[in-house]
Amino acid sequence: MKVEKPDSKRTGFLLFVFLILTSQNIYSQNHTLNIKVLDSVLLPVSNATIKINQKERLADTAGMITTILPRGRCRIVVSAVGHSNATKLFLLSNDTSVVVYLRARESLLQHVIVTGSRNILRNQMSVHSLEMVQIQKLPVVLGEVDPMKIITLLPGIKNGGEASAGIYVRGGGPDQNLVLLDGIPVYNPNHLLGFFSVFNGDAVKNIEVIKGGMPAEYGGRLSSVISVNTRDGNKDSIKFGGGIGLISSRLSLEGPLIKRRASFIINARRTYIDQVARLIVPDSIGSNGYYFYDINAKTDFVINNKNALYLTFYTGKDKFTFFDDDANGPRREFDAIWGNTIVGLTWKQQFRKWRHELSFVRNDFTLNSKVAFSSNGFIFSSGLIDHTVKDDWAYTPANWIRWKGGLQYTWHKFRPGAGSANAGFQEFEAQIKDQYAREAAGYLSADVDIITRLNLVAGLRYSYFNQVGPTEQVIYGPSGAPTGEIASFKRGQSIARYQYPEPRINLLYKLPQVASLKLSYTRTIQYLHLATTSAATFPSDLWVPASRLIKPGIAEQVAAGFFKNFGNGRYEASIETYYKTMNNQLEFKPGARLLLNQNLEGEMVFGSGKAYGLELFVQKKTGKLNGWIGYTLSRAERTFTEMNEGKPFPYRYDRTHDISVVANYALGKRWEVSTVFVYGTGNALTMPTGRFVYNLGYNVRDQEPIFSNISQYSKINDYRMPAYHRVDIAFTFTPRPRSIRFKSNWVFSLYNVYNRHNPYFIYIDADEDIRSIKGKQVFLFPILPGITWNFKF
Amino acid sequence: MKKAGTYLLMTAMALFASCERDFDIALKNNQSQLIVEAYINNELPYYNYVVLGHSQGYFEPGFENIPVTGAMVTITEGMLQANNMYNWDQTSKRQLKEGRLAPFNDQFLPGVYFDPLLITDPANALKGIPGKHYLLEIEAEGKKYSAITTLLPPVPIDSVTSGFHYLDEDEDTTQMKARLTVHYKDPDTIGNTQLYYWSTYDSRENFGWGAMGTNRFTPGVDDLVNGEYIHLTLSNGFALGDSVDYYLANVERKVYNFWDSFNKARSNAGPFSTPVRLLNTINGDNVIGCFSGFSLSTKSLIVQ
Repeated sequence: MKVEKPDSKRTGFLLFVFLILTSQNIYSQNHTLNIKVLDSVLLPVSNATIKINQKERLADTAGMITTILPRGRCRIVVSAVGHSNATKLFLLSNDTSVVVYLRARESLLQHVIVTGSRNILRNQMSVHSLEMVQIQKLPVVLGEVDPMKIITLLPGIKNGGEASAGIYVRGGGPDQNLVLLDGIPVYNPNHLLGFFSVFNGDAVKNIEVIKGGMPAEYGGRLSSVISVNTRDGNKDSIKFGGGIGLISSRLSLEGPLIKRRASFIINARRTYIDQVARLIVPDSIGSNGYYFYDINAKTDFVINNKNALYLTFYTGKDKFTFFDDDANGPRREFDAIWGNTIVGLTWKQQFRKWRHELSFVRNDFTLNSKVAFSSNGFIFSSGLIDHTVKDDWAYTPANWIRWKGGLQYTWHKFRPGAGSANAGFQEFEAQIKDQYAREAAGYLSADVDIITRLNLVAGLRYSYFNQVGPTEQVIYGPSGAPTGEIASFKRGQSIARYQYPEPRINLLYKLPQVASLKLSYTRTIQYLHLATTSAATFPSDLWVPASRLIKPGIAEQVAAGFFKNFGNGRYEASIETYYKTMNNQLEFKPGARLLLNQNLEGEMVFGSGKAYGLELFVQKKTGKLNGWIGYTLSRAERTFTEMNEGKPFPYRYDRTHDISVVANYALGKRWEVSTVFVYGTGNALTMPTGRFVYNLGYNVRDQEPIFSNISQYSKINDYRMPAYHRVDIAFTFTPRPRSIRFKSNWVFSLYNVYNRHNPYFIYIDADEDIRSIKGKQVFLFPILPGITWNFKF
Repeated sequence: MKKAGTYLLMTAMALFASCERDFDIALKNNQSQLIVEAYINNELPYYNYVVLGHSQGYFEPGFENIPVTGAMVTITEGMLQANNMYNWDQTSKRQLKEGRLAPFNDQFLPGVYFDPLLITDPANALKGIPGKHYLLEIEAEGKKYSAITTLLPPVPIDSVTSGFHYLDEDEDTTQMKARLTVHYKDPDTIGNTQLYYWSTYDSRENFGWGAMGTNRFTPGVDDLVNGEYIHLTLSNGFALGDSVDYYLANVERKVYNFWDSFNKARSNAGPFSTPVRLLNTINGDNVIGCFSGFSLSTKSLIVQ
């Protein structure tokens, strides 16, 4: 293939500031072409590949692209997963906006032909995108479709084990992922200790994970961006849908507010886990209760060709009631309700070469709990409230360069905890003072075709964090005892201030024969830390701001990859390697007390981490049989002066080998089968090496000693749990539609087909009464069937 | 909260038909440590003792203390001088020895060291004085160990009352019980830490701090309630008519932190658990334990 020689203007990228000033004039004879890709019900088609006069380009997640072309005939061919291709011919004689409509295919059985080579062309490495239409076919536990669980089948993205809350990307912690719902951060993306995520599969359109080479517009987390986009409502007619599963049911309603211009969609989900559990094991559940619900709503309003408004709303709550009738006392009641409420309003504008998005966001995570026995009550509450404004711009002055810039500002209010009691127990009212912080960032990035084959996306993000008053802080001494001094800060008074430049560089070199090399360097800063001591997500987990003592986390990552498509675009393959360092990492001392602890910082230790690995990914995108194979070889470790005698130790979720195989196969017109196989090295654990007795006493009458057995520990995370592996399978049956409007399908799934006893946790049971010491393994999911009926009309 | 969290997990696990089975856990070899449990208090001379033991491999048989016998154990009283140096009064040095004591039913308890004056002259046996500092010195198996603790001023108990009655039903008996509320004023200076112990009529014949009743879930720090008048109701139940001796031990922060780590370490299993290491206040190689100075104030009551 002929390689285009570097144009003198393009190679002048080193003088790109100058070129920006001149580029308007250089291309003044050309015209701007804005293309928007919609489906038949006027919903944007994300990530479409657009061939414009034989040159391939990629639309964004909103189905939009802006390009500069010379006057003349123009031929565009648009393709996207789950849709038929569309072609459009026209004469470009002035600045033009074109809408291309794609017809959605009813089933993946008909196998879309995606002519594009998105992974080759897009200068964004370490990224995976999944459409919900792909996710819905995969087998899931108890039939509960969960995009956050599915992404852990991709290389470099791991879960903490069965039903674990956290997602661990390239050795990073679970709080280091920027989880976005339509661009709005979600602080607690889990229900029921992480068994399920807050994302209702019916409401989600697609999910994208960026695990390296993070673009400059994203920040505030060290390891990844997990972006979940929800569906827009149908602009043509009212639609009703839903699903009935073993543990939850879902309903959705969507339709036009103003025909073809404004729509709404509401998705609601409610579980009946406790009722089902009560049927299975009535004695264990008793009168305790648990459920969660969530509601997603979205409206969009296309004001005119250039302006549109979007309103996103989410609220979800977990409600838990627990009655304790043990011999230690009378009936004790614990009630807790917790969850997120998110509202975001976005105004999108499109001018000739400019695109603009202005967003206002409110994010509220709240926990309220109450413990009561007899006439006593004890109330604990905590939470976090964010108010954010975001202003993002994109400017395409010429075909070879695209600019992005923006400003973001967030006002954080942290409620670390408040408690009060009305009688007995501990009669007091205590409140740990609220904390406040400002977080701001500005960024600018340029996407430059240096030569035809070489593309550079260079960005600089500059972030700023300022913890401010009003608050009061008790000063603690080295032993953890308060010194008696209290530092008071007035409203707006600075307590701790940090600012860092965050350079982001992505380099793409296109090779002949549909292949490319990619290289990236990113520096990311995280100003908020999640205070948690357990592997499960507990609602009392607290987000705490960077402070005088708690420094912001800093990560640097370099990654390199080779990407290759073959079989006429039917197969995608990639191999990536990465090396990541993380500073100012935070761990809690074992047994740390997080609730109502004024001196939370005294429970923390600080250290560093590093992670490196190799990721292989092969995907067959089309055909009767499609799916992917992912493999990761990796190492993640931590070093803390106060832990493991200062020596490096494996991160708990260090996983040397991680394999996932996902396959879909069309059995006929009505039946489809999907299967998943996963294998992962066991988690690293700290296990005791010995034991001793302490707190001795004597029962003189029985001549029996009284004591407690205490475990003795040596190295941290020096023990490996057994490897994790299982196979799941799902059959999807799509009955012949009863009418044009009514459509449904049945998903029959079998989780853990060969009934592997994967350990959820292991422990040693030392029973002094029967003088027995035994290792015990608890496993959660034996072979589990699931059935779900989905419908739409 | 943690318990409720465990039940929340149990709800989920019950739903998912979770199972448990025996599992062969191959643990790494253990390095044996000297275990020190030492006490000095101002009210109960028999409860001033030192226990020495060894740790063992996790799967080794036996649950009782592995005593370290024949050690040289001394406790010396002293003062803290203005220059922050201790002045140890060598004339006050007491050697503690293994032997037979009446409260132990005159049994010989290897590895338990106490003041021999408890047998010959109990009135002059070792007893702590609030405001004084105490030095523990141990010479065992050719190695030397030491620790210092302080007896703080006691925090006076105003009263202990009973209330919050309930019917305690277990498999065999049904009994009316009450809870105890201790009333006291937290000192104005922030940073005070207290531990709570009691003995009842049934347990009065028992011996040792490990045989005392206590509530391991009740925090005893005043970080959030400094200087307040405290009405602390413990969740433990007491039979009506029982006589209770209630002890409020004012302790140094390091002693409180040790017992806090002990309480966390002894109730630690499941996915919420973290490998809690017992803190240590003893100086020396390969040793773990605490020299606990308990400054006690006491109230007795009949549970109403």
